[in-house]
Amino acid sequence: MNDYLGIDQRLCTGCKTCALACSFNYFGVFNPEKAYIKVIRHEEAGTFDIVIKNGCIPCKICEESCPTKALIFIQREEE
Amino acid sequence: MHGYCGKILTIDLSNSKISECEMISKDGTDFLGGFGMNTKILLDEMEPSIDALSEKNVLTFGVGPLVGTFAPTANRTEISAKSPLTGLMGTSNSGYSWGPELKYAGYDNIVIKGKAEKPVYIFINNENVRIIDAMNLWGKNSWETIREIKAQLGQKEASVACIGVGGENLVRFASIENGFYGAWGRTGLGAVMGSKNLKAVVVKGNRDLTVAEPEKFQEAVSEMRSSITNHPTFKPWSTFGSMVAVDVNYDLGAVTGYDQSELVGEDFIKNLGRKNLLKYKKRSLACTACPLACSPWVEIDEGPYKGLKIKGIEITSTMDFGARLGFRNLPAIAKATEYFQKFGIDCSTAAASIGFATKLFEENIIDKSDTEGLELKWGDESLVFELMRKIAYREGFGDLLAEGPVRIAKKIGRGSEEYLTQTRGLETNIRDPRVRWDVWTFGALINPRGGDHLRVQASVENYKTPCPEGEYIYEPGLPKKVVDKVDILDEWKEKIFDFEKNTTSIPYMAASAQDHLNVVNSLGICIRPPVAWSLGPKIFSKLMSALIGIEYSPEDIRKAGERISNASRLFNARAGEKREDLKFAPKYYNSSVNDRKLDKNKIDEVVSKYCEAREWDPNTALPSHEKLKSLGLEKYANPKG
Ligand code: SF4
Ligand code: SF4
Repeated sequence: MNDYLGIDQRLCTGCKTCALACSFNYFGVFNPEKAYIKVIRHEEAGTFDIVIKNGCIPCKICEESCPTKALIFIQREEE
Repeated sequence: MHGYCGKILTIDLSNSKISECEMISKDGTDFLGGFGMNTKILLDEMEPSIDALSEKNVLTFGVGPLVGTFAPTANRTEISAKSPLTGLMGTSNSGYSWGPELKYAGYDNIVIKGKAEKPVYIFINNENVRIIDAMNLWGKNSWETIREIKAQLGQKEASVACIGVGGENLVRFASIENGFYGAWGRTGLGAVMGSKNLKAVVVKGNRDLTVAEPEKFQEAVSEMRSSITNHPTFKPWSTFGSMVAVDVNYDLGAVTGYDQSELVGEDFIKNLGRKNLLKYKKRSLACTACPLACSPWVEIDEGPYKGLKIKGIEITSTMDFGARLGFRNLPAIAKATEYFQKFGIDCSTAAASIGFATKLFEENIIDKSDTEGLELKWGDESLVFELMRKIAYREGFGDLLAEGPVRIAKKIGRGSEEYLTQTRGLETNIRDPRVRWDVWTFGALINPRGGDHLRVQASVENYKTPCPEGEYIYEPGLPKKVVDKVDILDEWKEKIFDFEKNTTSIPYMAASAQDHLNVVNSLGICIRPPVAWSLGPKIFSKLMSALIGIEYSPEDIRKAGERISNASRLFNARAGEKREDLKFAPKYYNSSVNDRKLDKNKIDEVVSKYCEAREWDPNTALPSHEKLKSLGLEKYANPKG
């Protein structure tokens, strides 16, 4: 089994709660730049990109914190 | 220091001096942050009687202790200075990303003094703070400014607070734009920036924000989150955003139109009610850490404004351009939003200036010889857009409109002041006090920034029963089981609610609601109903104790709110506002709408009762020396108090 994180861009509101929860959980501080998930806001266009950085386990912390269920933790069978 | 960065950054633009000082922890505990700290800083750093557009004015950006954490909606920044519009405390609150970014850069407050010789902007990148030439940005609208600054600095993700041409031209109600689509809109703070030759304040940071007791903080945040998401207003607000309240206020019979001359009719709600939003809303957008995501991203795909894509059709702009000016379609309100954001002018006072002029034109008090030949009429979209441009550039007739309604009336005379809708210098919008008398509408008389509706709102109110005509002290009461759920301290519940008589005391609830919203605006969370109405001193004490590591009781929190109410009243008293100034615009006492007008004497009694609730002298509306001492404010005593 090898889990990965699916992102439903249509549901994401750009709130960054996922990144804050990640940095708080792993580093005990709030600092979105330390998080393993990065939310890039394209403010003028009202859109977002979410990037998973090296180091992400994934652990479900961000999924659990997401208020819109935009992050979906997917379990996949190893090939 | 946990929660706080513990640092205040001071920039004197007259001599380019940049300095840092430590925030004394007692100031944090006493004034919390955000609005509270701003109030303290203004009292410490300036004389409230100065000319707001002089270099003596102090502009302060305050970010609360919760900001930057994942506490829901902890993203707000309060900006304060003396207002060039009202002459009272100018203050405005906005969210999105600027506040968290300042915390990650390492500061709780920025204090800006003096005046730059030439246009500049400030870039705060952690502890590297620079004052940068902005000659090439002067004259640019706010959207161009943001794009250029980001490109110039190579900082796509920096947060930008800037002025448009409105602020440069000292429009008395110029706003400070918060990124592309938000603003510190009210009370003319953009003109204060313009008067300092300051085009923008840009922030980017990547420092850690620490918490004293992480596990306890996590618990308190979970409790806070579930209070918000379980509040009955949560679902409708996340679907419709603030537009949900257009229907609520219409159903209350509280909305008047055409510069508050008559009740709005069915065409208003049919065309501008919340359901219409869903035709254009494509998705929901959130400020940092917000589960509510109240902002709609709208795309207009039909009609004259086809192709417009923008964040936000809101209740305020709908009331300003729809009710006050007579627009009857949401795409036109979206278009107005683009204009006021790009120009950097406050939508409410811009619409009020245009509305006042239109009313005077209708009443034949002014004519084409006053308006450069323009024929002012209700609902004329392109005329309104053209007038907004003229205001921003202070061009022709726009130069007069840029002064705001109160000064327009002074200039014109001819009895025009009878038509003003400005109470204490600021328009009272959304609810007309003549047709809906309650805590909200009374709040116009005590709000620290003048007669608007955003600083005194009860966390619970009876929407079902109309307020009886002629009753001023009480509004219809609420069942005990409803009140039991509200986080207000028991001692205050006893003063506010009478379950036998089924009443809510307006003056006592107003004092309590004002203190509560002071706390909300000082901790740095949002005043949207699902947030502000579901929280109170009990949960705030848990959050703050865990965050800072200093024990805060619920009473400490309530008292901080009270301290801030007292401090802001002292500021306004020192700026010259007297007890007798706590009154509505004459129109509300003299001309009826739906056969109702206000009773001046009875309202005066409510003000006296409010003073009683605050333990203030009812003749001066000022705290006694003992009161000030009990709040630790004695050094700010009014010279006459
Ligand atoms: S928490 Fe969810 S909605 Fe918020 S930014 Fe992350 S993925 Fe998007
Ligand atoms: S409720 Fe709306 S305005 Fe308030 S923080 Fe959330 S998205 Fe921002």
